[in-house]
Amino acid sequence: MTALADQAAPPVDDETALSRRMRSQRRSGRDRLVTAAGVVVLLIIWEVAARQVDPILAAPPSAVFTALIGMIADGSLPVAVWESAQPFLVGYLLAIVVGVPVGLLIGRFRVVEAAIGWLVIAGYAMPMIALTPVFMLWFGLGFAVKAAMVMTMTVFAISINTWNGVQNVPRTLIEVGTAFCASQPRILTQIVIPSVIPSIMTGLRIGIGKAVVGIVIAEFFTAIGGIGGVIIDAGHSFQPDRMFAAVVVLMLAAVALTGLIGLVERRLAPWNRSIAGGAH
Amino acid sequence: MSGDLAVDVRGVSKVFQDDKGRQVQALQDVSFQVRRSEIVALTGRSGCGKTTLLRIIMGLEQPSGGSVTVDGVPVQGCGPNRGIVFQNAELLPWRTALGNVEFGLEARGLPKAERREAAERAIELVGLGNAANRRPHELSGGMRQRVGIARALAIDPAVLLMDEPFSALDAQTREKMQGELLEIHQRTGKTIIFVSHDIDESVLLADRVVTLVPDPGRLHGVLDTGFGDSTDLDERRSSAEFALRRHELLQLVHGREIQQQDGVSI
Ligand SMILES: Nc1ncnc2c1ncn2[C@@H]1O[C@H](COP(=O)(O)OP(=O)(O)OP(=O)(O)O)[C@@H](O)[C@H]1O
Ligand SMILES: [Mg+2]
Repeated sequence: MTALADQAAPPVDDETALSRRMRSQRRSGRDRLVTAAGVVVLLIIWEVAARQVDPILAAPPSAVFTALIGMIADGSLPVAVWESAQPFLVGYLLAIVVGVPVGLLIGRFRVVEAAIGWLVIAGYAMPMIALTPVFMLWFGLGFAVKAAMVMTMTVFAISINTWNGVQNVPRTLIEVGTAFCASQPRILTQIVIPSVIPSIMTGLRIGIGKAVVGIVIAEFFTAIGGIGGVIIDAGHSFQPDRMFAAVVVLMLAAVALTGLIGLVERRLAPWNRSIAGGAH
Repeated sequence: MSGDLAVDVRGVSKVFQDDKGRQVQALQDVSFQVRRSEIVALTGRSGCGKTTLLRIIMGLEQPSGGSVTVDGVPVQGCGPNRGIVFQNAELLPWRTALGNVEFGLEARGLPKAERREAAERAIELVGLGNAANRRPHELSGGMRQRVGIARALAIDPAVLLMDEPFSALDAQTREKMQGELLEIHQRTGKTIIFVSHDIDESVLLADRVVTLVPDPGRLHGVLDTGFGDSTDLDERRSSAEFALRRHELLQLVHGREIQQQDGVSI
């Protein structure tokens, strides 16, 4: 293995632990109750504290909720969500379509690893936010720049996790293929790819978080439309209730999408879950 | 002679490069023959090259010198005349027990119906008919090992190779599996070569025991066992032959040390 590969080998995100916890948590009724109580207490503290402050600076949950209802009723929120969702989806899907094959190729072929492995590591390590101004020059201020930001933020996480997965395919399983005279394509489709699916799903799950940051950053900079646009506009016009409402929507969307990926993973790789979950 | 010969290992050597580029001689000039339908055990201390030898016979490893022929045909990579059972079963976790058994048949390009039938037969043979649709993580260690055996048997190889097939099992399960192996051997008449660390297991199951010694791995001796026609494990274990062969094998494996002890005690 090359030095690059060794660097790439450990689990590839600090968010991994968090998302794994979200995924594998099987809560008892009591745990749920405690969580609910925690949420209520936090909301009460927030409510009380926010009422002491100038309404230009903060909004209590009640006001945020009212704003949220209002924004749904007047259609501004659904429009904004839809405006964000489209480039989000396009960018995210592009990241999958590019990231997974690239990761597979780097992991499977030394030449490809030597050629572009460094690029993926650099891309993953670098704060892509720094590229936003350049992206605005290249892609303008509309749909394209948002999709491009999402894609760039996400693709490296997906690639590097896929790559990592290919490297961790047990050599012994590949040998099973060799011993039973399986052809190379058969080894790839029947052994390598199924082994890598859990790693790909990890990449997709981490990618959701990255993609959400990407879309928001793009909309902050361009300040045109979408949830990010709503947040910026509300901030600039001193409407913290609207701002927080948009932030809450963003948060819920990210959690829901991560959960969705977890669901897909459980369908695609049920064996993995029962092996990993067995430790708890 | 050649009609009776299943495996011919001739002057096999193997040199590995370790990570620091040094040469490690894992095997040096190893020769032995296995007759058809014979059970042969490979035994010896850790690192004496048992696994390497088995992998060379399987075609997973190229010998640095010498040659192996199976049924008169030189070994070049994998081949349908040999099936291998790995030490830790090595099942594909996303496939059911039956699916795992089918794997080797798929690689051979058998039609689906035939594949299914052969796999079902093999899985019945190892007594797992009612666990056929479970995934490996839903099986016990012994069941997994049996799926591994079924996978190798399903392709109907002339020679069955097994690397410490029972070493990961608890004593009771191991004993049961040993009995089953003898039964399978009776029913199928396969030639079997298995690696074992266990003196008792080697003597009990094998018709002949090949012992290797390390640094470099070379042949040390071959011991004929021979329990007549008895395939009953308990019967074998309580026989006078067993105690005798067991002692002989211990002597062979530990060489001088035991002789010296004997000398002292006399
Ligand atoms: N791929 C390899 N590269 C370098 N050295 C190797 C390799 N495989 C085996 N060896 C060396 O060859 C020797 C024999 O190894 P082998 O695994 O065949 O021993 P073994 O008899 O099966 O031992 P054990 O009983 O512990 O399984 C050892 O010294 C080992 O370090
Ligand atoms: Mg070994």
